[in-house]
Amino acid sequence: MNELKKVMVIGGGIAGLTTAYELSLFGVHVDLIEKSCFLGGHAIGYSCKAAEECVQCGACSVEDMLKKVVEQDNIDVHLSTEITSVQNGKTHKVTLSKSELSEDDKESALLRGFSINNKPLNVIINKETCGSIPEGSVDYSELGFEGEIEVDAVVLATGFSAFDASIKSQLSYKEFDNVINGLELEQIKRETGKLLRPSDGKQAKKIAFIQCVGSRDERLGNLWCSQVCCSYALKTARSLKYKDQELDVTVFYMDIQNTGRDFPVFYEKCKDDIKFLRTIPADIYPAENDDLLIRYMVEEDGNPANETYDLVALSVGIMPGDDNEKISKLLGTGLDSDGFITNGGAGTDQEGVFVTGTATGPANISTVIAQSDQAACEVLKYLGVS
Amino acid sequence: MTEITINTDVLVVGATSIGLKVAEEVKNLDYNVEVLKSPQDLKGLKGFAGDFTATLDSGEKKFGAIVTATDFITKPLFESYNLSPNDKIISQSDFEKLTESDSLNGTKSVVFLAGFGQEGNPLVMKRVFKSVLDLCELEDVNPYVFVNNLKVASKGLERLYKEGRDKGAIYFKLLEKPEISEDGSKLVYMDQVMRSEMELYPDLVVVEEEYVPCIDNTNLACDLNIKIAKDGLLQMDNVHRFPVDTARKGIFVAGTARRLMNEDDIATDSKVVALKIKEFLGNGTIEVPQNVAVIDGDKCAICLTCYRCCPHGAIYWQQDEAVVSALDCQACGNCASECPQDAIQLEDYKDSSINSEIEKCFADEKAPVVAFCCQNSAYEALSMASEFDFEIPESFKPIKVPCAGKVDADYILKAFSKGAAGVAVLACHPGNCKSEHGNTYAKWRVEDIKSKLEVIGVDKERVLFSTVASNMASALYGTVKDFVNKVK
Ligand SMILES: Cc1cc2nc3c(=O)[nH]c(=O)nc-3n(C[C@H](O)[C@H](O)[C@H](O)COP(=O)(O)OP(=O)(O)OC[C@H]3O[C@@H](n4cnc5c(N)ncnc54)[C@H](O)[C@@H]3O)c2cc1C
Ligand code: SF4
Ligand code: SF4
Ligand code: SF4
Ligand code: SF4
Repeated sequence: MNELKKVMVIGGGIAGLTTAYELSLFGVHVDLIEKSCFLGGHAIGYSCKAAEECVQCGACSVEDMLKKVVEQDNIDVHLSTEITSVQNGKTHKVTLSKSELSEDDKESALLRGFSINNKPLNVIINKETCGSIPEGSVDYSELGFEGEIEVDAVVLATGFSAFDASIKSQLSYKEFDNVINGLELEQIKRETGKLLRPSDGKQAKKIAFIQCVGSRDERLGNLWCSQVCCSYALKTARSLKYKDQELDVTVFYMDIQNTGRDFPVFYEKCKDDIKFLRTIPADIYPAENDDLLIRYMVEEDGNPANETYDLVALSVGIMPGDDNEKISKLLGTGLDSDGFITNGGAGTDQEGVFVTGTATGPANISTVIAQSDQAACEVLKYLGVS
Repeated sequence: MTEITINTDVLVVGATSIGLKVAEEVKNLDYNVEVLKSPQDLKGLKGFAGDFTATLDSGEKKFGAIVTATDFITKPLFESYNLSPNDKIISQSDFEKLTESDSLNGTKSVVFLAGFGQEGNPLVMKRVFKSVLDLCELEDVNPYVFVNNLKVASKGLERLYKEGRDKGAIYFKLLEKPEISEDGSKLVYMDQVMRSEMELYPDLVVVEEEYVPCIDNTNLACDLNIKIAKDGLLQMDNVHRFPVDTARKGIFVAGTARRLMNEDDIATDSKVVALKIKEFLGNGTIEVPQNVAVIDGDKCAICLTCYRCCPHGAIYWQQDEAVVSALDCQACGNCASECPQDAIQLEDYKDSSINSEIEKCFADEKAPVVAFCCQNSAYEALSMASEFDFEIPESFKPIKVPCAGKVDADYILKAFSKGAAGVAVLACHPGNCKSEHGNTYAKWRVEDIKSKLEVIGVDKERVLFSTVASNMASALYGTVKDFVNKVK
């Protein structure tokens, strides 16, 4: 028998979930630390992008993995918790404390998870303003872990931050209701099964996607392709179009990246359904009925053109996680020049500390799953678990 | 639970980059590994997970798990550009050889062509970027790249692209390929900045290559009794197989056998496979699952139907009857609903228990809508819909099934004979079935029943086949509401 090994996994997105689950299968005890009130990370809120068939977007695999994790006895989940200090040595002594709510969440009365596998599903932030309280809700005050946990290894899986589109003021994000980012698009589609405009709840009829928002941007110093946004934009566009043949979709882009194994076939279908314009719009202006006017340059002749849309979706990219700097200092891991955590095949500069997922750079769900299996493999090797 | 002992030797098919890495990782786990140089060295395979018998040149040998590790080959795309190779028109590989042997002296301008002969991918792109940088090291050489979509979705590529441009390489991003004279000495293209037709006289034209899956994959898939994907790879493009599974237990697919990938991803995959092998083989003892399909030998007429339809290769023959390998069976029930003799029962979903579930639907409702919901998708989505305050009509009665492929035509007919207002079969989206074709079989059965219902005068619109993802409560709700409104 192996002596019981303990591992801390920090971050409960698909990367952390996968690593925790795989380790738990080998009898390792896992403390899974999640800063927010819910497991699943970004991807638990995504919408299925199937049109006439599944397009392997991976959203439902995250659901699957979350379910497996919550059913596993040897994974202790600590929600609303983050690390405050670490003592590295033969073991790692990690001090944990309750994390702060985000500014938006502080204003809420009740927070709800995205999946029925979120346990708890509802977290009460403010009892007074809550109105009716769903059964099984947990008060926010009951979440969070304070104290020290000693573990044999640590896995960092703190994920990414989506680009804050308000940095590019010409795109008027947050200024106009109907300019939304990719995450909001996912959410609206997931919750309603349709694409409804935030301004009036009406179904959008003519939409534009703008690619590479925040990525591949020399001026911002973001010299990387986020790898996932062409994929989510095109797959979302086609799945919407499949349900509503009348929908008019335009994609403004620089280069279209491959979206999967069947890309050549998929891209041909996209070309039938979607208007592709190889140019990145200069400006977005308000128009009548909360519509938006996009001004861009026509590639063929270099002349300016205007077109009105009733919804604009910004394909925001994958940026280093907000906590990357802090966490790499705490744990003694390196940061690369872009701000992602450096990894050499799941290992880091710090012995006994491993890293996986988008904490290390852009990747889609299926790649993150493979990386996390790799991380689990490396951790088991390090711990000598057989 | 009964425990059995299994073989823990591992067979790796393909001495490729991924194959050798997997072998090394698996050896480190203290399992014996044999690596076959090429898929052609595997002459046949029998048996099941934990107990495979492979026919090799050296004779028959037992293995517990198999890893397929085939590679891609590269093919220059001269034809797509209407060119034939000569000393001025060469492939990317040949160009790389020239750089390596420092044989580019005197070359002043080099044109690279990428993304017009094929969609391309980051692997192709990276080689162009690297070649451009190599050229920039030389004096007085001008690299020109004609490209459609820059495929930069891989670590470091955008930076590599920029580096080349900063060092003087000129990129033309075009939607159509440039016109190239037959001997490669002249190029005509539409310049995007000047907005006019321009000409270029290169010393060398370098043509992109495409990556083609190993041709042996087809035979290998056949030997292993797994399906080959449309694109010639050994893993179906199905999220349930991610990252390295096949539909069959104990058979894994590694690295370039499952998709085109770079060396980093190959290294990752070797670890992933090692982990999955360790998970499966463990210390060589394994618990046999109990909730599997069981065949009643007395009823079996040896028609082969179950053998053919089992998506997980779990059925074999023994003394004139079909037998289920319990270790391989994934309890999907596809065989049970296809068997013409009704000889197969699934432990957890016996016909008798599903029939009593159907009865229950009528307990408080005279004409309910009976819905068979796949546990992997519709059933999950339904639970979510109820939890998330979507109002599922009272008359909608879900019955959980392990796979839509388990829904026997008899179940649907029974529901109607008891007076159901409608019957729905709710499955996973095409391409998302855990058992490959359970949803397709279910769809066919529903279509078949529709035509039968018409004959006996029941409106065929009262049967519905629909697909949904497990996370889409809203979509499921829409489907349910529309259908109930229609039939009630
Ligand atoms: C708009 C959009 C759409 C996308 N669509 C798709 C798609 O369809 N298919 C696809 O394959 N990929 C898609 N992606 C990419 C996908 O989101 C990522 O691959 C995936 O979410 C990465 O998972 P992760 O676990 O690495 O990170 P995350 O999902 O970011 O999870 C990280 C987790 O760690 C937690 N955390 C962060 N910091 C701390 C801390 N200090 N302490 C404790 N916990 C912490 C976070 O709260 C979060 O729960 C999309 C991306 C975007 C932006
Ligand atoms: S499109 Fe995505 S969410 Fe939908 S079934 Fe396929 S993988 Fe799952
Ligand atoms: S994936 Fe597409 S949209 Fe995203 S950064 Fe890359 S090229 Fe731009
Ligand atoms: S389908 Fe039924 S009758 Fe035919 S071989 Fe299988 S068990 Fe026997
Ligand atoms: S239940 Fe499914 S996996 Fe098992 S033998 Fe039947 S068809 Fe094969």
